[in-house]
Amino acid sequence: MTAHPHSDHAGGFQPRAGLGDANLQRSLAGLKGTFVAARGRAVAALPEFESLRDDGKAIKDHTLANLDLYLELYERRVIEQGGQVHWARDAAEACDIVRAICRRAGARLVTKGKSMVSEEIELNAALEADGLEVIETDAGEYILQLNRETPSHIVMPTVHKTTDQIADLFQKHHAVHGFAERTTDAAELVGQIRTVLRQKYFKADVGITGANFLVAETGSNIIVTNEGNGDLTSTLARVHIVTTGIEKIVPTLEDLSVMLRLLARSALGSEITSYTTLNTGPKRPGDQDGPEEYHVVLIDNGRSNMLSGAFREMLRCIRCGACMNHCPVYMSVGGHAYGSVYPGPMGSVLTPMISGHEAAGELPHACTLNGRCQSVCPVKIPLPDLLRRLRHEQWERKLVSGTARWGIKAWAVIARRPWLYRLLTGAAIRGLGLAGRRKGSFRWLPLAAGWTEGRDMPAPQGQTFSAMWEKRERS
Amino acid sequence: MTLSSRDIVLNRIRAATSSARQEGDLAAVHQRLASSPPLTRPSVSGDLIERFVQKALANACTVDRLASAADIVPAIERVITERGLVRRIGASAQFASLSWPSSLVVENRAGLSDDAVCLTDASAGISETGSLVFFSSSERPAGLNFLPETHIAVLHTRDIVRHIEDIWPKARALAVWPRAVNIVSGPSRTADVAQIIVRPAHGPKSLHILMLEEP
Repeated sequence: MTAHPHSDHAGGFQPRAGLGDANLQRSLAGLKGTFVAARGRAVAALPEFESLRDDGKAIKDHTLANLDLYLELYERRVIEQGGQVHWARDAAEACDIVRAICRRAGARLVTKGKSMVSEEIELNAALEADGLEVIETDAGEYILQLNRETPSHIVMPTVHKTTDQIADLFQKHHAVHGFAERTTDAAELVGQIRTVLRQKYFKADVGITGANFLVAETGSNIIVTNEGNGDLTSTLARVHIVTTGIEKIVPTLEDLSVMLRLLARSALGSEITSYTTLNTGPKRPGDQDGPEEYHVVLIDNGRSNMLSGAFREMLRCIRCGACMNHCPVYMSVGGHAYGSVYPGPMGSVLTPMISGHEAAGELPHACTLNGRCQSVCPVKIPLPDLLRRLRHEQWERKLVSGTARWGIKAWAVIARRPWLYRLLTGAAIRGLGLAGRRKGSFRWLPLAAGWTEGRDMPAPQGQTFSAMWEKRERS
Repeated sequence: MTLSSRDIVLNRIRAATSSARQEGDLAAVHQRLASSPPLTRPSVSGDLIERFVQKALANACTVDRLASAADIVPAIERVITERGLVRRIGASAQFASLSWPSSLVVENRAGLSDDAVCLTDASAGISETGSLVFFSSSERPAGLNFLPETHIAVLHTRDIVRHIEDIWPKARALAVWPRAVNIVSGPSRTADVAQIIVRPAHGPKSLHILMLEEP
């Protein structure tokens, strides 16, 4: 997950483009008005939501503590139902496994449901390099694939795209399908996707989907959609391949029920999505539809490393996107600013775990530690704590730039000596107050040009806070 | 001997988990699989059937309440005539044997890419969410629930349960675990174009529920 078409940098936080993009700013405001508001209503309507969160956390904690046992049971069940299980240590091996299945199936056309882990392992590029035609079937992912873009949100991948941009894209790519006229009507645009993809589902040799959950008890993978694309993908192709992280597993169907309630509300503000499907193995004898082969690729790719230590908590994540929807940083800069597959708070924790600290760059610092992400997380992941820990690890590994190290060390010297702190801040306040007396604010400050680039710094008008506090305490 | 990737991944997991594992943990895993610990369920109050209807309507379904199985054919005739649909239906096996007017073709088969109407039988309804539950089988191709423009589903009121959890004992009681368990809670939709909700996306444009009230 290094080179992405939308960015020429290898990971790291790049907020500028998003801040200056008026369309993106409108879309992000829209996200707030729709999904954030809907989540608020859905949670308010369910008095048991807090208790469900506790259950969800406990279910995931129990499963992760016994992950090997549940994965072995899951594998046994899949095989009993006629399916095959493949284990992948990393992204490259996961891609190779899928490529080999496609090769054995003599595949030419691959349909794909939405799968974030397939983005993580860059599966499409690997399959296309083998000469396969790969088509994303989720409406949003399909739009992005036409434009060779990556998702900017894990649930609503096209949140950054306007109707006009999609209209242009379709006019260019859909003329061959008989849609010559440009349209900006959302229903017509979706209608075009439906028409184009309908035939593909039937022609596909291989259908690839992700898994929102795996159930150990039954050997099932669960996909949750509103579109129905995942079901057409898994039902109509000759071979169904599930790509999934090893952490998606829950023990039983009862556990699944709890997780489904948390996911739909946290992701979309719905009580349930239009389609929740459990797929288990290939078609049974006598079945009139369904795939002849059913494969699951269990992908580690850094996850087992997270199991030991503090980052195990991150493996509870069910990819609902609530943390980014409630993050002031994500909501200001959009998902592409994060330069990685997983944006927002969860992405800032996951990216260094999956791609390494070096690839993550400033991501752990793209956070104000306001804590809203943790307060809405359906499985109570302490995201701010994990981000703080990552900052610490970056410091320990000497991944913090020389200037920043020097600055922080200097700060530590000053902050640990109250008399020095008071002396310096007092002098600074008096100096700035004098210098800014005439205009009342600064358009540029030394050492803070990055800060003053986007806003003016008001000139201090009195004393430091601690001086005022001291005076108040005395009186 | 070289280790397989399976062994390597499992060994990594064991290295991270087994040190903290205690004597009783394996038993706890078996216990959990044998019977689920008490978990939170939302309170679902009032009449289960009325609540199901209310939730299904809120999910953009349409509901027709029928007094007996004899009303199924006329009810479908009505929908097809009112909506001007093609008079060919892909259906679950049990419906192919009903006495249909000669002008209607009703076939038990897999779904087709241009199916206008499919008719399937729900094994359960969930009052909590207004959802229908379909277990795939040789008589019930799963694709019929996703391919048509109009999906008509027959649900017996006696099969309406309170919570999502209440459908699992039904599934576990089946002789063969179904390839697909489809929990369907409304027609297909997307908000991927400018966050505007559009129906349908890839699945049915409408979901019409025939609710059979005979005991």
